[in-house]
Order: sequence, then C-alpha cells, then structure tokens
Amino acid sequence: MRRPSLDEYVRDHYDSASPSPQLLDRLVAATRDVGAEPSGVTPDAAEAEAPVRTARPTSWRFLWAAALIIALSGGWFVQSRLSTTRVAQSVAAEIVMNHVKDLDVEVRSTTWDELRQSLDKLDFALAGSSRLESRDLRLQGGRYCSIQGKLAAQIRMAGPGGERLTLYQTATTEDLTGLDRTLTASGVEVEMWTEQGLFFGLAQSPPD
Amino acid sequence: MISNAMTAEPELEPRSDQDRELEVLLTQGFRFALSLTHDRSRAEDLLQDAWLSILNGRRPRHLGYLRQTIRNRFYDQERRSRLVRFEALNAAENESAPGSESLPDHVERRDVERALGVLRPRERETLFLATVEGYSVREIARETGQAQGTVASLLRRSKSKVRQWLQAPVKEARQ
Repeated sequence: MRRPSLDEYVRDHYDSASPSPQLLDRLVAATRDVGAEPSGVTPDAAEAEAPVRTARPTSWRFLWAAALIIALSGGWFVQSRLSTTRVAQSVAAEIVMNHVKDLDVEVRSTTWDELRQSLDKLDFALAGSSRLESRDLRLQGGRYCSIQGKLAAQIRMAGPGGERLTLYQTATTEDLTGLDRTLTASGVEVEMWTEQGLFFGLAQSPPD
Repeated sequence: MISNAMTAEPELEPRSDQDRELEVLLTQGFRFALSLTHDRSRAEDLLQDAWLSILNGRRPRHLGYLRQTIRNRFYDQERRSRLVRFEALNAAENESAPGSESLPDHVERRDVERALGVLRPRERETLFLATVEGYSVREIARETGQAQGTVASLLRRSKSKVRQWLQAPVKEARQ
C-alpha cells in the first residue's frame, strides 16, 4: 500500500481542523444581523439616532431640495454619529462574544500590580478605573486579547454577589474615542468609557 | 432599560445555502489562522476578530480578503507582543535541502501537529498555502508580498524541518 506523502499528511492535518460550532453559530448570526439590519445594537435612548423614514419622493424638485437641506444642515454630523454608533456596536459585539466564550485566564491575580507585571507585553499600563472603585469588584486574573485588532487585556472580575464580569482594557485610539455608552446584547450589558488614556469595556452577565 | 437587538448567542434557525457557504468560508479562514497561530483558541480569536472587522467595515466577504485580514492582524499582534523573530530574508538560502529519505511507515496525526509546531509562522503559512490551498510559489509570493525565491526557500525549509522531525527516533526529546 502506498504511504501518504508529507503534503498529504499536512493537508489531512488542516482539513480535519474546524472552528467550534459555537463560534460558527455566533459569526453566522452576526453576519445575518449585519446583512439584514446594520443597526444591530440599540444604543441608549438619549443617544438613539433619529428613525430613518423611507418616504417616496413626489418629485425631483423635492428630492433635490431635501438633499440640499440635509447636506447643508448637518449631513456630516449625522454621518459622524452613525459611524460612531456603528463602531460602538461592533466593539460591544466583540466584547460580548469574548465574554460569552468565558476563556480561562492566563494569569491568576488579585492585584493590579501583579497583573500588570504578568501581562507585560501590553503596550499600555493596566490600571483600575475610578468608575469601579465603589462597586466592590474582586480581581481574579487576566489574559491577552484584542479589541478591533488592537492588543488588549481581558480581565476577569467577580461582583459582591458572585456575578461574573469581564473588563476589557486597551489604549485609547481615535476609533475608540467617544464611545461612552451602555449597550445590551443577549442579556449581557456592556458599559464602555475612556479614562486615563485607556478604553474600558465592562461586560456583565445577568444574575442566574 | 436598553433594548436588545444584537445577537451574540447562536441562533437556532435552519441553515440556508448562504449560511452553509459562509460556514465553509469561515472554516477555510480558521484553517489558515491555525496555520499562523498553531493554536486553536488563538485561531478562533483571530478568525472572530477578522470577520467582525470585515462586517463592520463593509469589506468584501471572500476568502482572499479574509486571509489578508487574518494575516495582517496576526503579524500586527505578534509585532506588538514581540513574539515573532523576523529572520533575514536570505537566511533561508543557507538551509539544507529537504531530505530525500522517506517518511516512517506510520505517522500519527499528533506527530504531524507537533512537527508543524516547530515551524515559524511564516514557514507554516507557506506550507499551508502550498499544500492545502494548492498555490504555486508565484501565487504565494503575490499573496504574501514576498519574493519568489524567499517563498521557495521557506517552503523547502518548512518541509525539511517537518520531515526531519518526523524521522527523529525520539520525538519527545524534540518537544
């Protein structure tokens, strides 16, 4: 019988590898969301975009007039807001997916100093947030991850009642600026803010 | 309370043909990511990260673009974490040619996995594109932006390393 060649062994190795069904399901669902409706996450009511009406044009004159008015009175502003909202939704979706995966921490630690020393490949200094000081959260450990392709830290925390929380930190960039808001997806609440030049995203599952 | 419209959990909807095509594409992307990371968990992270970026950026949803996004993100992360040693391009030329000896009678799948683990990401990527995707040296060079000579050397060296590892009498000692 003919023995397989090296190429065949390598091919067989990769052909037998597949992503987990859970990941495939999540990505297929995310793709459906984007395909059907770009606004997948509903932001805070205060920040919600004005509903877009698809009125049927009655005449070219009306269309041109409307376009001119929109362009002159704030088209750029609306576009900018839409873009920010889309980025916020995307970041929140990524945070929720990572939170749901519940990967083990690479470093177990209960202090920021220890965690900072262990995750020393980060291009920013890990820090606690003043927003979390009053919430009595216990640090449990962390691991490397990425947000929007940027190196980030994924930090596991526990609430006073044993709630599971995941805090994400990365250096603030232009893309991640101005995303301060709270979004909810699949029951996971994601709070995002910037502080001390860092972007923070806190994901919290609802109590069981 | 904020409403909830985003779906992060699996949806138990019947799969359409479009969904199945997407799964095939994502699986191909995963295998490519695995060739770079040699770590399932990291490959999944990389795939997820790249795909969300493509969706968010309204980018083309085809394999070439997905591979490019995965590749860029992988090397970007590696550079930042300083885990990759970027060798001189001509270093490959000094490698010996692949051994002509045949492989052992029986090679276990886990041995192949371990052998691939001794390769550097660029070597694994080149070997993957050549053997799994069936690309020629010229096509790999065009896709990865490297010279054809470099790709040929990477391919020769990666095969040589894997072959040597598989032929080693005591594999555990080479972990």
